[in-house]
Amino acid sequence: MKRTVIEVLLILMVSLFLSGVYTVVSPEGTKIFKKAINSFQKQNKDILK
Amino acid sequence: MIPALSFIFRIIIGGIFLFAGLAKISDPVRFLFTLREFRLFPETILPFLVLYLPWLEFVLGLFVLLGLLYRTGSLLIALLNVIFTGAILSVILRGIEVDCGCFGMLADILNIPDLADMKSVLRNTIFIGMCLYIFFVKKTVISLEGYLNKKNKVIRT
Repeated sequence: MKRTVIEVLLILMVSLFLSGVYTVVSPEGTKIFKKAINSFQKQNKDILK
Repeated sequence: MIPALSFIFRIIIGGIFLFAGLAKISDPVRFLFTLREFRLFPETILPFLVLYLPWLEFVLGLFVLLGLLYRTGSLLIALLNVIFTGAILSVILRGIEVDCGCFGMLADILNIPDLADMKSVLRNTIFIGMCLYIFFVKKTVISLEGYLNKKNKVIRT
């Protein structure tokens, strides 16, 4: 059980790392990420101020 | 027979997830529009899902295909398929006609029907069955994990 949880976390972290690299390297990924951040900031203006 | 079948299922599931992930990675904008049509997730979460989910599919497919952490990988693929099937069923029940987005641009290239309908639900159910088979039948043949374990045993002795 403990081993399975560690393996799940490992797989999730590897994919997170690769998607992070892709977001930085590819222009399309960067564009989508910037849009995501912008829409997040717009929707949470009150909380972020 | 049983380990050989597990190996065949690994090749099928791993290959499908690897290429489905790659197809979505190469066209993230299309995947974004497809996910938006499902009307399931808030607009703020969607782009993060679009950037993360294809890579998760790619890594899971690669791991299951190579036979590295393949049991946990197949369990995660089964879980993903349960979520996908739930999403497709919700779209069918709400009467929305959309592409399921399962194979991205690969569906166009290979001319595979990619609609969110009962056929895709059935396909996902078969995938879940295969994944659970790989998880519960602990033995398989030709896997990187098995090779590494053998090597470790040789080094210890």
